Amino acid sequence: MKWITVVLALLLLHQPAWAQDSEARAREIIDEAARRTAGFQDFTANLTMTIRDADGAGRDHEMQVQVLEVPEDGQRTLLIFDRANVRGMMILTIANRDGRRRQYVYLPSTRSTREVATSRQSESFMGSDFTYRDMGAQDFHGYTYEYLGEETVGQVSCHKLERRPTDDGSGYDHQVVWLDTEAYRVLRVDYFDGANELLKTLELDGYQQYAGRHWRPDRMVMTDSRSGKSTTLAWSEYSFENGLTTADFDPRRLGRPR
Amino acid sequence: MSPSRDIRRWTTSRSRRVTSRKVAVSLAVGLSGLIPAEAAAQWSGDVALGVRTYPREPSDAPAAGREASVSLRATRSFSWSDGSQFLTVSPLLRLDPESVSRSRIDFLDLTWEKIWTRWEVAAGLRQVDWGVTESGSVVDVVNQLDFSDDAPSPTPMGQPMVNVRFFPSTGLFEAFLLPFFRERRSAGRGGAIWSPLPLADAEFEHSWGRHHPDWALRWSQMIGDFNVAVAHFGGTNRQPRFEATSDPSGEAESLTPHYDQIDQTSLTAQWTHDAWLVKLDAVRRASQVESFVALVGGIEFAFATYLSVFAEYLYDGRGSGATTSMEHDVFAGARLLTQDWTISSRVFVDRRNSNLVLSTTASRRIGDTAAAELDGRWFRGDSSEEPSRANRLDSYLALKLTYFF
Repeated sequence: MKWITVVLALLLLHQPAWAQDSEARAREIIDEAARRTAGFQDFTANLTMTIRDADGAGRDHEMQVQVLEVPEDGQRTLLIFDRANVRGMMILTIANRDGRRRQYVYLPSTRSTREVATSRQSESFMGSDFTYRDMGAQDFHGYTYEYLGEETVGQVSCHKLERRPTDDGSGYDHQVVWLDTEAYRVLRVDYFDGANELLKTLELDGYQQYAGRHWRPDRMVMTDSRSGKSTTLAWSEYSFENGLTTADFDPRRLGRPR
Repeated sequence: MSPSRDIRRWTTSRSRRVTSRKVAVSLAVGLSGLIPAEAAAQWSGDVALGVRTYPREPSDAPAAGREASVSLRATRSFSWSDGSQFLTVSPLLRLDPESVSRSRIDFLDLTWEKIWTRWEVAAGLRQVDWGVTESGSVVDVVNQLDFSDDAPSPTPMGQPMVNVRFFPSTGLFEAFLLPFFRERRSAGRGGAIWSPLPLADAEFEHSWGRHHPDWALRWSQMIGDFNVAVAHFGGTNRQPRFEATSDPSGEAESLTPHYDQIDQTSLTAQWTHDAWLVKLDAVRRASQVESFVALVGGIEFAFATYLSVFAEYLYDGRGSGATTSMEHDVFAGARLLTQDWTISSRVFVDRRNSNLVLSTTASRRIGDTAAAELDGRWFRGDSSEEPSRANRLDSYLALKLTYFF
């Protein structure tokens, strides 16, 4: 049995060449994908979020979304609600690169802004399975990647990658990501737990190109594999590079007209 | 003056209300001439029908056991000059078929604003919200309160002001000029004063009365996990102090609200870290009559985005002489927000006499354009231990139907 021990030791001590290749290949793909999604500066869009339970009963939330990319710092997301009973209410989320997140609620009736608590759950976007990070461009930071090969999603040929979060906060053990080989757009993500059981599936479709370079999906559907619950984000009226600045996302100045 | 179980309705002098209304309306007319035709927006707001019942009938005074009202609130914003100037118009109309004094036409907001990169100027009637704690509003001195409203707590009234805001990197500096004073509204049972004495006209310490120009300065800044603000207010106190006036034989015959000149320095601080919030509202108020410190401090914890619990302590250096009834109270509360429900529950316990006030509000939305709200308050304890101005003694149950447009 000694030779088995030796082989195991060698496997553990030295990463085999194929593993290195796989990581390097994955890194190449991800760098290219990140390069293509970087620099959107700002965008505004209308969003309808529909949360459905397993038997299809659902409820819609409509809002305007404004997102500002702050170079080297993170992302600011402003949600402006339009449904009658919450019209004019805003939620501002300021996410820093270090993972810290601040959240402010603006109430038009008293014109007041309050900073509210952000727990790990509030990473969740409006109580759905999406996170605030999903509101902007697909974020490729914070993972280690491995290349799994090529595979088709629908009719589209894709790079298939596995990624593991570098910090523990995500709630998933690992994810499998499919990016199309042509434009490096994320078409599908599968989320797994430690027992390699599929928890959730994210599907993105209806990609369109805006301002000549930004690809955005019209629809993002997150399905919970166990409960059958799903959340659909339907995007419309995308508008890029509107010249928004941090002053438009200043928690002290949310009452100004938009 | 010893508290009594008698209830008396206090109505503000009508002519004074008309004056402030005139100010508001003429301001609106004047400003509307400035709005160019390109400005376009929509009205939004709500129409609400509310009924409220008070199970406890006071034995020796006439008081409505039931109150009903219809209210209309609307808001419209006009902007022009590429969004750098705008006007907000937010009228309020409330009608109580049985009480003229509870009926009201007013503006919650009527403001013209101009915005530059680092400056903002606003003029008109508006609300200012400084406090951070859940249970108290000791630092909010700019707006007068309306106790006759249907809301669970008194609602702020629009204050005429000119407000200049400056945004350097060292925080936000604000200056307020407050040229006109509005008297407290206490019509209806929500504003009942627990005294058998009739109420006299208000008296002002300053000879300019309600025309005394008040002012305030405020600096606020976000420093790491801290939101901090320091403010100073100088002028006419929004809280009246009541004094009994005696006839020649020494019998008390009426109760006079006195509006003193005060200097109030306040500090608000909030520390926000993940799911934890620690909050403090503190003031030091000085007048010819008294000088004291009051504060509200406590913590909030959010289990998830939609469930928060609170615990706070309320201290008022005046003790039982306080014009509010929250001088040594422990407060606890919880708020739950779901897709359809908003439920909040609050309890105040007076540390000295164990008097307890429990209130709960449950609101459910009906479709996208309506909501039903059930609101109740329950008092348990010895009312003679409460200060005279304690409307919280009155238990009630209220139902409100709201249609949003």
